[in-house]
Formats: sequence, C-alpha cells, structure tokens
Amino acid sequence: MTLLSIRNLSVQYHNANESIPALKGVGFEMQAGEKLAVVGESGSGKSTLALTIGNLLPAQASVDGSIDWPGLDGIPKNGRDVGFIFQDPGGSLDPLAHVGTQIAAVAQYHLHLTRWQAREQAQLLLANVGLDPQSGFFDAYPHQLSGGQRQRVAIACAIAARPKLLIADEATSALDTLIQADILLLIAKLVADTDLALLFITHDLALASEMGDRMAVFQSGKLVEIGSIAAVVGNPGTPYVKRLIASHIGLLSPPLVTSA
Amino acid sequence: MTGIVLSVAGLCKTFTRGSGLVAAADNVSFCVKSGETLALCGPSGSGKSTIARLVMRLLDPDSGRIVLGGQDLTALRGEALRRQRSRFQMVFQDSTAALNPRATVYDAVAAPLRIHNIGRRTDRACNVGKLLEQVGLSADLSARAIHEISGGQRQRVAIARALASKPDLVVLDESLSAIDPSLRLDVLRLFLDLQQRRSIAFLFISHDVALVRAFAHKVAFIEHGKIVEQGRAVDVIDQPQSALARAMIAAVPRLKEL
Amino acid sequence: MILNLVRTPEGFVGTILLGLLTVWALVAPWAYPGDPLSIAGPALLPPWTDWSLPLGTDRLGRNIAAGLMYGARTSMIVGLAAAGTAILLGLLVGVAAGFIGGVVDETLMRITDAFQTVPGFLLALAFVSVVGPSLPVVVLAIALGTWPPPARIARAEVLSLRERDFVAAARSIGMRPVEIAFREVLPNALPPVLALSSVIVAAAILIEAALSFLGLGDPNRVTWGGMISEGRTVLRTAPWLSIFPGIALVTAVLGVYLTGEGVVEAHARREMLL
Repeated sequence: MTLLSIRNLSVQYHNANESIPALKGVGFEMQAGEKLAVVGESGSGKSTLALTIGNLLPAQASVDGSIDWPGLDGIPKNGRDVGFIFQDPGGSLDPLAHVGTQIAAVAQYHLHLTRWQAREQAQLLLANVGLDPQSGFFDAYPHQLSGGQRQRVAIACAIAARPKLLIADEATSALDTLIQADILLLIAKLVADTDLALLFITHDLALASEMGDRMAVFQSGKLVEIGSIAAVVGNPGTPYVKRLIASHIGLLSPPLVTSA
Repeated sequence: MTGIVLSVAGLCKTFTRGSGLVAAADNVSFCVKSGETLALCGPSGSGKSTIARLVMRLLDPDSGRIVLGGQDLTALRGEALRRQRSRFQMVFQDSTAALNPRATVYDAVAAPLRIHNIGRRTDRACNVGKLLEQVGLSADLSARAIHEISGGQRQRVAIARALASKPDLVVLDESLSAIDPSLRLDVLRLFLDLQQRRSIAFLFISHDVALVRAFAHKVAFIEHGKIVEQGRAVDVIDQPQSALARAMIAAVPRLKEL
Repeated sequence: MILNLVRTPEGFVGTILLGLLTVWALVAPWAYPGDPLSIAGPALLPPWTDWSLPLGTDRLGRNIAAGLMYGARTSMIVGLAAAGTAILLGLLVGVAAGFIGGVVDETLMRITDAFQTVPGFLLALAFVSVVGPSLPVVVLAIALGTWPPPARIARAEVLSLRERDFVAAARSIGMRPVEIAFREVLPNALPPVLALSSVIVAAAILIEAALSFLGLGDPNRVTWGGMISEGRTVLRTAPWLSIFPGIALVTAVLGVYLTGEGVVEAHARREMLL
C-alpha cells in the first residue's frame, strides 16, 4: 500500500534579496513499511526534503507541487503519524525536563493516555531503545547522558506515538563510528519489529546501501536516480552516481599510499 | 628533512572530570618519519584529539617528551616555542570554528607568513595567491571574508594556511569529515602530492577506519588514552588483533553492491 | 547596512531625528554667527513675534534659537566623546581581564565593581566639583560613570571566545597573545559592546544636561541643561525658556535610542535570513 506520494515538489527559500531553490520538481512514492535511503552531498536538498515531508519548513519557504498520504486518513499530524530524528542528538530535547517525562508527554498527547499509562509506555520505550529504566534513565536530564544515549531518547520520543513513518535526518553523523553502529542497529530493529516506514537521509553512500531497500540520489535539488540498492549501486545510470561510487573509500578500496 | 620528524615518548595527561580523573593520554609513545602518515584512530573520548593538542603544544602534558626534528618541544616556552611553530601546523576539524569569521581569506593565509617573516612583504599577495592555487582555490578569493565562502572552500583555506610556513609536520584533526565524499579524494590527492614533493609528515586523527586504511602508512588504535595496537595501516586493519580495532572495523558501513 | 537600518520603523524615525539634530548643530555658525551668549534683543521676548528671533529670548535677551543650535553641538560632542571614551576604556579593561585571567582579572573586576556601585551621575558630579567644570572634564566625568557595563560585557564575550577553536588556531600558527587579543578576539567581542553604545550616548547627553542644570557644566558654552536651569525662575511667565531646550533634549535622546534599536533590529533581521 502506498504510504506517501510526492509529485513535482519544488521548495524555495526566500529572503529580502533573492529566492533560493532548494528542491526542483521532485517526485517519488514510498510504500508502507518500506526503507528508503536518500543520499546527497551538501546543497543537494536532502535535508529540505526531510523537513518538507515532516512539515517542519520555516516560514520563509514556499512549497509547490503535492505531497499526498494515501496511507493515512487525513493530513498527517506531526509526532503522531511522522516521527523525526535530527542530526544533533540533544538538540530536540528539553534541557530542563527529565527524559522519561518528555517521552511520556508525546505518548500522552497523541495516544490520549492518562499520565500513569503514559509513564508506563515511556518506560517500555526506554527499554526498547536500550536504556534500562531501572538504571535511573527515566529521571535523567539530557545533559547527564552521552551523545549516543541522547539520540536513543530522541528515537524513543519519535516512535512514542506509533507513527507510520520515521524520518532520520543524518541521525548518526554527529556520533562516532562505534556508537553509530549501535544506533543504526537500533533503528533497523525498531523498523523491522513494526510496520514503520523509514526515510533515512545521509551523505554516506555505504550507510545508505546498508539501511535502505531502495536508494534515491539527490544533486543540487533534483532527484537524479532512484531504484533498488542493487540497481543503483551495481548499475548506476547517471554520471553523478557513477562518480559518487567511484570516489567512495571503503575497506576494500586500494590504499592510496604504498607503505614500506 | 629525512628520518624521524616527530618523536613522542611517555606522554601523559589527566583531566579531572566530575567525580574522578580521566586519563586522556596514558604513557603514549609513537614516532612519525618524514614523508609518512601516522593515523591515530579511536572512538570519541579515547583521547586522540587531546594527544593532537598536546603535540601541537596547545596543552601542556603532565609528563613525557615531544621531540620535533631534534628539538625538544616540551622544554620550550613562550617566545622560543612560538618561533618553532612554523615547523608544525594543524588543520582543525571544523573550519568554520577554526578561522576568524571576520577576517578575509588573505588575512588568514598571510598570517603565518607575516608572523614568521617568511618572504618579502611586497611578494606577500603573490605568495598568498600561489598558496590558494595550490589547494585548488582561485587567487581572487583573497579579498572575500571567511563567513562569505562555502564550507568546502573554508576547509581549503585552512589547509592553505597550515601549509604557508612550509612545516615539517601537519596534524590533521578529523580534517576530512566536513568535506563532501565526492571532493574527499581531491583533497586526499592534494595531501599526498604535497607529502611526496615536500616530505611532509602527517599525524592524521580520525575515527573513519576506511579513510585511514586508504591514506595512512601506519595506524595506532587508541582507547582511554592508551595505544592498544599499532603497525602498518593495511596490515592492522585487514587483520586486527585488539578488541577495539576489531569493533571499529566491524562498525564500518559497507557499500552493498553484490 | 544603513539601508537596512532605515527600513525598520525605529531606525527610520531615529535616523530622521538624529539627522535633523546633526544638521541643526552643523548649521549653527551660519544661521547665527557670533557668540550665542551675546545679547541679541530685548529680554523675555515671546516666541514667534520677531522673525530674527524665532523662538524668543531669555532673561538676558539672548537668542534661544541660537542657544538651541549651539547647545546641540555641545550635547552631541559630549554624548559621543563620553560614550566613545567609556567604551574604549571598558573594552580595554574587559579584554585584558578576560584574556589574561587570574589575578589581573580579579583585580580589574573589583575595580569595576567599585566604580559600578557608585551611581554614574553622582560620580560625575563629584568629579566635576573637585576638578572644575570644563568640557574635557565633563566628558571624562561621564565616562567614569558609564564604563563598567561595557567592561563586563567585553569580558564575558572574551571568556567565551577564548575557548573557541580559532583562538587555538591563532596560537598554533605562532601569533603572540597581544596580537591574538587585538586582532582575533577584540573585533569579535565588539558587537555586543557596540549594542550598548546608544544607551551610553543617551545617558551621556542626559548626565551632561543634568550637570549643566546644576551649574557644573562648561560656563563658556551654551548647553540645553543650562538653558533649562535659566528658565526655572520664570517658568510661569516665560515657560518657553525651559520648554524648547526640554523638547530638544527629549528629541535627541529619543533619536539616539530609536537609532540604536533600529541597528539591533536590522542586525537581527539580517541574521534571521542568513
């Protein structure tokens, strides 16, 4: 079943002097429960895409084209139908509230639970994201947690209302390799356990190929190529994607130096 | 310069953090030869950035020696240390934070030339232009302000500045993580070209193991301030012995194509 | 930048007011050549009766319009000079304290505390009473009372800037500490201090007016405060002696405040769009 259908989407940012196009004529579909990885470099528009789908664009942006949600009844509500994970692990958390309370607030508001039910739900979620509520994580403040732990809390908040789509916008770029691997495993597990669809935004080609069933490549605001991982990586159609793959440095790439 | 450029012996540094002491460097010893790249690889909090700053003498070690081309840097202070700084430079991770936002590109790149009296004043503009071209930027960028140019251009300006005083050693502190993947190869090739022509030694701080394998000759894996494994980069990464190296290598995302 | 300033409502009004005052001050020697303190006509002439003396005359027959224009010069000179001195002094102390740290920081901050605990006006008053009234003394006196806030703000900015990577980078290329303080840190610490400048200019103009009102201003110059003071005794019969300089004072202070607000607003708008 199609969850999301985007047609001819164009987004521009306006300021006093000029209008800057961020997305130009983008169109694609997402199925329910699908994992779509969006790859692009700086200026490609991938973050703008995430913000547009998540209904988080600033006031100075104008949107043309259509975003339809055939998989939902009515317009999607932030938090309830779409969950968002940002790049900065602590940035989306209230520094003055316990993390458990913040997760519970999401559940209480969107699922119409009582305070006590929401608390229980929050504790379950904390356990689900790997933060044992018995170890005192419920009453911790964001600044008492490490970057990786904060991102886990952010993930818990994002899925608390049981959304249909989870948008991860460079969710692991600010974390080091080991912690990144843990968070990615967590996201993959959460998506697999439920019928959650995942829109995974990254600049890392290898990461995209690991996290998605399909990959969409963006360049300068345009969608240049979209298809299954095997198709895009194994048989790239556009010169840009070919270049991206050729310049990728992996563990199997030949070393650039000859060491004695 | 040939032979060993940087020799670090028994470097120790502890910080008091919250309730206890944290060892950022615990008896660290390594050396880098001219024309060679040594990578320090480790997770965040391992102490690799602290070691970079100790080597750059931005921090004072609790104990240990840092010797650059025969000169004991740990024994130097004040003006004597400042005069030696032309021989070792650093490229920071975030060029937006590492350059004075109000300065012009010219100010930033000419500063080391001015401070260490390199070249004639009349030639300075010309020299700055040459340095910019060396890193793939146009000489016309000199007049622009730092906050006006793009992130990728800023990182190249930072690199041009680090190379201005023709140092023997350059410390790269996660310097490539802010650069787009498609441009990374260009910057790497630039570094390698300079390394071959001028025999510059690089101390490369990174948590990106794939990048380290491609770019470094030798690697040292660091955990809690201690070196847990070191050796030839390709050997260590293809056949890791320590738990940390194994974990970091397993965590590298792989491009699934087959 | 000026264009952005004028686009904001506050900046627009403020610039017009200040512009008028500046023109007013500059035009004075041509409009009314000669000494404004000389007698120009009959005493206590009401305004708008004689067109060569449009705003009337005071108790000694001096031209009020001339007094306003020359008074504008004094107020603006004092306002700008005192604010400039205060900010310069504050910057030096704040940057030194924040950058050097340690004992120097503590000592400078205790001195700043000492100056700040005495109300600015009383400090100026005491200083002028002791040293004697003249324009440079008045400027210095006002600066003495208004330099602590810029010093504190400069110090706070320097403390946070000191930890930034570009200061470490400057050290790593071999810059001397003095050069780092003045080339790298000070220009970046400047904006919040300059944001205070309009408040200090306004305060300086008011303190100067108050000092002149009490007879402690420069006796050889016409000042609005002095004119208001002159009009005290005849307030019921010839109120225009005090009202006109009063309006001029309000206009000047309002103009400065509004321009300052306009600058902040223009800056904020520009930042938002970046």
